[in-house]
Amino acid sequence: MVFSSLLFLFRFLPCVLILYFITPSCMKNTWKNLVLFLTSLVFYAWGEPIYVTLMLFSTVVDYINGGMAGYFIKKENKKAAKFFVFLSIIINLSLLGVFKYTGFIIDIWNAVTGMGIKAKELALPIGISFYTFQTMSYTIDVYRGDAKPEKNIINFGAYVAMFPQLIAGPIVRFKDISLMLRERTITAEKLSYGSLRFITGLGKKVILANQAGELFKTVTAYSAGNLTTAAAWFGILMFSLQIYFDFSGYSDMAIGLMAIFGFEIPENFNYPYLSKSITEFWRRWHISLGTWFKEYVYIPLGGSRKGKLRTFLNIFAVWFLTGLWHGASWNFIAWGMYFCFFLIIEKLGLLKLLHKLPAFLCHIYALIIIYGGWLLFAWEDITHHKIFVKAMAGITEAGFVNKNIMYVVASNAILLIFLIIGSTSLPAKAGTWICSKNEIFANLLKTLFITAVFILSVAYLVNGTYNPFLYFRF
Amino acid sequence: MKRFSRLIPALTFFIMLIAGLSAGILHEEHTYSSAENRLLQKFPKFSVKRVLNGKFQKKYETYLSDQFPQRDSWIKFQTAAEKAFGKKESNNVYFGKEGYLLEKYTDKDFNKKIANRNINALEKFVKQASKSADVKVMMVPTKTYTLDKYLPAFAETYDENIFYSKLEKKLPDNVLVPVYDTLHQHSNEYIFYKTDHHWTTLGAWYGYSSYCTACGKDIETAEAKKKFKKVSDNFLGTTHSKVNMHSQKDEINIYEPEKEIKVVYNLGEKTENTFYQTKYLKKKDKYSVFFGGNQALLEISCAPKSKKTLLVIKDSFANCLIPFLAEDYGTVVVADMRHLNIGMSMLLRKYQPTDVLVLYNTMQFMQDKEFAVKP
Repeated sequence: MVFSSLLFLFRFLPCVLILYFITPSCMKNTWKNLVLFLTSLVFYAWGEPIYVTLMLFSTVVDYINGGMAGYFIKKENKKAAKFFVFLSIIINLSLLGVFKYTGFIIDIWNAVTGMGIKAKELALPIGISFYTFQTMSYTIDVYRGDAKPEKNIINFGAYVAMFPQLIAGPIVRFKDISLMLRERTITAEKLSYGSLRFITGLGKKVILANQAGELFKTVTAYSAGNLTTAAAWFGILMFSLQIYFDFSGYSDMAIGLMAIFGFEIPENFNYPYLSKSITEFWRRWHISLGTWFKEYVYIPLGGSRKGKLRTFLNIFAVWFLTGLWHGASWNFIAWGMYFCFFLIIEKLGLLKLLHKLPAFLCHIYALIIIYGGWLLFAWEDITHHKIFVKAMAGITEAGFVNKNIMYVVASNAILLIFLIIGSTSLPAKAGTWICSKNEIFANLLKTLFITAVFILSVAYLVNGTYNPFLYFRF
Repeated sequence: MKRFSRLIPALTFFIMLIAGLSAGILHEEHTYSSAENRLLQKFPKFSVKRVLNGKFQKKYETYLSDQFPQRDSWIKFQTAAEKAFGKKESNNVYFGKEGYLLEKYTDKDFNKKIANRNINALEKFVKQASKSADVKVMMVPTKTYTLDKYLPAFAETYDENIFYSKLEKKLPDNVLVPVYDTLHQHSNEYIFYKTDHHWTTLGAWYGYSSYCTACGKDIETAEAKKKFKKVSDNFLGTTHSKVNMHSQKDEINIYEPEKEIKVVYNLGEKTENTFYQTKYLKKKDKYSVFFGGNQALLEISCAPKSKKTLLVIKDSFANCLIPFLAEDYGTVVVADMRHLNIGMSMLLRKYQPTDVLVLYNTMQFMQDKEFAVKP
């Protein structure tokens, strides 16, 4: 199930809200957590009912591993505790490996050995990249003493399966919400903030990201003879905006829903396109993933404390994994390596140089590098990369610009303005400024925004299914 | 008040969600959508097996969107929003100037193989028919190509001239009726419906007058027929169905013959003395007022009987032009190859026409899978 669907908005979510709010918060929220756990399982099972067993398996395994690690830590038997941490890591990575990377590994194997092994394609269980990382973080946090083991399997199940952040993050570490699982307050402010945040995310996804995606698709479908330089640049711009609004929209919806249920979870995006360097970009983009890799890979490997060479090796390891995490394909690994390269260059002194330059030059530098990154990220198949790189460099028989792309840009000018301004902090700043004047007025304004964006999003969702059968009777 | 106001945004959101849920549950199931011209998904069959393999869930989501309360209004609202967003098209229909909805055609809309096969078959047929009859071919350009001045800025559509010049090379001189030139000259007039892909009766009359000129006929006869009667002013055609938005409605006009005519439908299925089936004016598909839509075979005779017989091989664009032709011939035989089981050569042998007219819309001709296949 996805948030941006009529099913979620008008069946699943209202039912969950009714159930959640009529359930008493006694017994330290256990009953409420049970509602969250069970409804999350329904949410998860909707698309691929069989895979719910996978999630239950991961839940039980890490409940036991975390519990055991905690038990042995208490007994000061670090070795035994470590064993359970490794067990957790091995089981979770195996799950990921089997379901996400089998095809990729077999392809590599075939390419190297010349064999023609055929693998049965497994459908990727949704959210597996997220919940395996979450459950691993639990056992590790317990081992490190950053969190207490969760004795109540309902609470732990609610943490793993939590539907708001199940399919697209943010990745919430156990220590971030372990206390909230037992004690949380639901206030009018939180409910309204959550609603506003959810609707913002919904609008970003349904109205902005989907339209940008359509335009990206239009340009991708151009034949090489029609792909002008302008069209190629425009296409990648649309992809950059689509992926930002799509992903950050999902995060907004997750954070909003969690706030409605009384949780506060960390932010995942902080206007990444306002970055002045790549180092900064990765502090603003998919923050929870960056934090995860930093805490559970980079720092355990020694971080930057073991000399320059070792630091670069650690950075390399993190970015190889980050690339691979995004998908089982070479272009994602190349994408990770691409950023690794610029991060190391920046560490070697470029960052210092950038600080001396005027801000707008830094912005241009960062945006161009990010742009190049999305060019790598956009397709798994290299044929598109070749055509687009050539066209962007001006090597195309279609020329710099033609009527076709002018029509596309002209008829989407307003959308373009919304997309570009929407990816900056301007709307949020303007909102805060207007709302700082008078509280009642601010709340009415928020209500108006929620109503308008909600209605518009629903119209887009309904229209997405408009499917006229036109027998023309020629 | 201040404290309560903090709850209003959340309350509004929850009320909208629950209102959507209740409206959906109370909503009476529709089986058919006239706007989309298709059956709607009903509540799917439930069984444990269907849930486990995901079939039930898939169907249920289709059911939710198909049965969404006020579905058509939501769709209209979204199209209006898109228009406000500055969008110039929806579902491959351009929002043209002055309320014209114009279909967007690209070379992906037809199969080049089929188009070439049809051109070759037409060439062969013209050669064969020319032995005994005066043959003309009229390829009516699409609305979008003819009325290109109503297109949004920079918008493009398939260049039908590519097809046209190919045809010109294949056919003998003076066979092609230069209908595009005539129509394009009159593109200020109401020659195409704003919401339908067909030409209007006036457009068809220009087609008829070009035909008369091409045949070397007296233009006065044609001029005398330029008088129409309005029979409808609330027609929304197929182009409108594609976008389903608020649009200006179209008029339908008809030409009423002076002479007495007789129309025999499909070899005696029924006989009438009018071209028009007015019952369709009350239905959605109002263009079917002309002969009740596409018929396989029409035999139209007119008193006093002349010796000339015209065979028309046609698609739906001919339906509103035939009334003009009927009085000029003793018999007009109208054949729609898509609904007929016999080929064009057979028709020549059976009816021994003195004149032959092949009348198609360019795009429909290029897409027609039936044209070349029957002997």
